[in-house]
Amino acid sequence: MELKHEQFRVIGKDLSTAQKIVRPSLTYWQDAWRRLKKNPAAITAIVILTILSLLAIFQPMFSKYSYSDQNLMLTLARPGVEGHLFGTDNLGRDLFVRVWVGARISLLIGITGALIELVIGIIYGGVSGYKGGNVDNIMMRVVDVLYVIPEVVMMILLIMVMGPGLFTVILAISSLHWLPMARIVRGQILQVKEQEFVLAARTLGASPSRMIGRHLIPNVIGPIIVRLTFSIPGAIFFEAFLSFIGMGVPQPLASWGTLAATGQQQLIAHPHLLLFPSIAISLAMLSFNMLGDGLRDALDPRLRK
Amino acid sequence: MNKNKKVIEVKNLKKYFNVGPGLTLKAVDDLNFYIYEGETLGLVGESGCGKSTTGRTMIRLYDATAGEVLFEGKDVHKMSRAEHKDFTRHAQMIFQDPYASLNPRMTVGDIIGEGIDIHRIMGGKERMERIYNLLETVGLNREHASRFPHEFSGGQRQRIGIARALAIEPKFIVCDEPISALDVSIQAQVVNLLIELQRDMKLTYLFIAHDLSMVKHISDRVAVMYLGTMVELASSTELYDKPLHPYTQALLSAIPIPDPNIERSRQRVLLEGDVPSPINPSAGCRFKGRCRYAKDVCHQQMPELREVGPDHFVACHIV
Repeated sequence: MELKHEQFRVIGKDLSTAQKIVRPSLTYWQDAWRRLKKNPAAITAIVILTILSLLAIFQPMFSKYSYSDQNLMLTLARPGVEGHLFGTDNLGRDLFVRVWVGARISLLIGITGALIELVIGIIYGGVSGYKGGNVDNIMMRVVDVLYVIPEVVMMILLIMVMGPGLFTVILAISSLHWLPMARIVRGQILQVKEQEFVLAARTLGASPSRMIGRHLIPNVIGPIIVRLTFSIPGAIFFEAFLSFIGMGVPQPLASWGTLAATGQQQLIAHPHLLLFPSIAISLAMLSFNMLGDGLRDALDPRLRK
Repeated sequence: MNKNKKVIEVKNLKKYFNVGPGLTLKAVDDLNFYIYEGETLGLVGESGCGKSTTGRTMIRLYDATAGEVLFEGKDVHKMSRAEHKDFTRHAQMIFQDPYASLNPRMTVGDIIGEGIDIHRIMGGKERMERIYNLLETVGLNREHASRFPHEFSGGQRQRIGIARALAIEPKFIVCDEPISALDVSIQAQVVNLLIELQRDMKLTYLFIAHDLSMVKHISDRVAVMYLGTMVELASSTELYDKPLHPYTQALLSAIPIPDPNIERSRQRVLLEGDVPSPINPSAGCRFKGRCRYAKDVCHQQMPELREVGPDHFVACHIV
């Protein structure tokens, strides 16, 4: 078949719609949330964490027992006896309320520890990466030196010097945990700093605070948040560890670590004393880790679909 | 083009990078040129010859190792903080990579409006109106202001980059390979937009590129760089008709001709070897190793840029 010029005609094109974008506009966080929603493990983790937090906040308020009330007539009761859902410990205290008071302490330590880590890490790593050159060199060598200190030894020493207590435990845990955060922030800042949009902002005469606040931090926040969700369970774990070796929060305060430590002494005869706090610790750790995994996938632009 | 007024003048500009103990990378070595008001100066050369470094040093994204960059008579590198901020209102840059040059966390409106915000030119409704106008100037819709960069194609992003540079009504724009990352079909669009804007807003361009035919299309004069030095500078017709430097000749002979009959019989000047490393270069002409006319003098002395015809400058001992 032969095509002739006459068979064609110009139908023109509609320029007004040529540049139209049909897809709805999504911000970075909307997009991340959309991907997170598709991850069943992360959603399960969010549900479990919400339940744990709600119980931690409200259960001790509405319980008829307080975490320090003793009923010496009813020590080491089995779960379910006389309204004690998880039973009682060797001093006759209700384990159910103690687990949730423990949750308060453990989550508090986990979150505060992670926040301190975040603040120090962002400031230290941010300055190091932003300034670059010799400042960066010196600051990172300091981090290298601090990395050499075994963190368990450091934590135990700090607690021995300052005496046990909630504040000391938080301080001890975050004393060295900011190091990896600082490294991550520095690496990210270094990477973003050389991008052309940062140069463009400099060409426009942007002040350092504008550069950091509008261009650098928003572009490095993803990996930082992921690291944060992994450092919360890290802090909870270290708190449990410190309590287990007897350097945690003092009695009658309870954390998951101290509860597990007392439970461990009665393991043969009364396994429920260890079982319930351990389940709580495991659930929290597992959930934070699953959430972290999900966030990493959701926030990583390389996995954008 | 106003031949009476030089907007920007580069004098003996040097930019060296320390790449290790005793190793100096001479990215830009002793450049001298100027650009008239309303002119487009094309800057060509192969990858790694210091084109982008020149552009970035000229607007103080890099600090010069030595030499001066005079913008309307004032040395850019010796400006006080306030003077420099004022300079950023007048000199802008369009970047090479449209995917890296827009902040992915900011809306297009905020990206374009950033210069307006930094220099506190206007606010509120007036600012938004300005942003909408700019979007329409570069051929996008006003609805695009609330969208994010990742929703746009490469050509659209590049136009957003152009709108950002225009927002503060600069006099001088460094176009750092603004089209080399784009499809050929989009390249013409962007270049024609740049030409139109220059006419309407009396802009002065430094147009960095390695696409010679595109440079000829947009530039009034063209400068050829080789390994941090300038080898030839002439008006674009003169340079393309009568290239004098052996490197320019080789470069121009590489342009394909869109006519199969001529293309088949086209004589090409083939260069031997690779570009030598700009780290600690040896004495003499930078091009000597690959030049088929090289003589003894080329190995001993660096040729100076001298005028060999009206407004035609060459740095070569042979010419």
